[in-house]
Amino acid sequence: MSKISLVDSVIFRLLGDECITYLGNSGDTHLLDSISAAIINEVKENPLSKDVLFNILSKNFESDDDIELSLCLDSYILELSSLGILNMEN
Amino acid sequence: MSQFELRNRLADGLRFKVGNVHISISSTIPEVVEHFEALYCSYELLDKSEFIDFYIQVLAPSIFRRFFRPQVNFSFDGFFPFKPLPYSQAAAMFEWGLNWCITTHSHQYLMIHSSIVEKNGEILILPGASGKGKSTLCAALVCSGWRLYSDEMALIAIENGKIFAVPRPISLKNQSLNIIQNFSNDVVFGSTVTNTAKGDLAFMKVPEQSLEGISGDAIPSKIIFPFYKGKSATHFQAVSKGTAFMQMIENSFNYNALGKTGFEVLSKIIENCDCFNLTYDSLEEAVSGINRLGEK
Repeated sequence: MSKISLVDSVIFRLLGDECITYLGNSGDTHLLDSISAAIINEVKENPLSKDVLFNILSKNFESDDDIELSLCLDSYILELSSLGILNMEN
Repeated sequence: MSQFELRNRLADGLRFKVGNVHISISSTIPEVVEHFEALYCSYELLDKSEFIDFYIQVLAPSIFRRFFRPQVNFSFDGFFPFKPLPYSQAAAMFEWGLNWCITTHSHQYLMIHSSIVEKNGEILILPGASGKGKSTLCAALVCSGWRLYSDEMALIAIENGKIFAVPRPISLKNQSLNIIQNFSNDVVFGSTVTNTAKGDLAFMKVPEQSLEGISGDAIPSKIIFPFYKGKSATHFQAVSKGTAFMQMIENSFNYNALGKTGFEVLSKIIENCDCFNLTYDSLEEAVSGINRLGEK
């Protein structure tokens, strides 16, 4: 199963429930919401599979709807990958 | 210093310091002499052995241009970065040119387009583009007991996040001139410069208390984004640190040039500050609101 990790050149700061990231490769800075902040914070040290990440986030955000959360997580991972913040490792 | 002595020193190259910035200015233009006599008489002079950061000249471009549609030129280290301006704008050209010198050559700092004031050790950053009411609010705060660190830019040391004072005359434009004259009887202005690209403007003298011990540095504790809106109620609204971070980037002169260092310095500043948007019409209400915030 593929694992999700933080791109090496990305640094970030959690500011309240938001997150600011700096991408060393492009020089871009992004302001991200609380879900993105939680994802980045969980994968900052060790790559995690989507299932593990899902379990952690479902506890953090107390979601009643697993399908909705799973779709939401897919969408966030895709977005953060396209920004150059997350890697998908096989 | 007498006007005669000032005129001679300006012709020869007057050396003075503003905070940590050492400047040499040469000019024989009467408007520049008057500008210095009115607004710079309390600044510390430097002798010839001191290192100078910026060698500036404000001169007429040619003898012909002293008489026919007279113009003035700004030179920095013998380089002319700008087209000439009308002669009557010589003093303003010095101030604008010095802003350019500092913001293009001081990358040991993260530089934010903002006013900075201090009271009882508390530093406020008031970022904002031209026209937002930043300088007017800054002038009102300075007239109300706050000490001026800078009207135009925050110089934040990249190694420790401390702000260095550069207390130069406050640039006020158009209706702000009357507003501040009505706000305080103690305010001193230089000559009004008319028909500039920004309208009519004048520079307000920095009170002497702001120049005492100005080499000190300090960590800011609040960031307030001012927005003047006519006929609006005075309103402070807390801003998330993330949003404030992005607004600070928008107002930075060199965040992108500093790369990762800029990110880390700005992170430290934001983590330490409470952040607000301030919409105001009444200066009195805005100043008293800021005073109350400072007491909390």
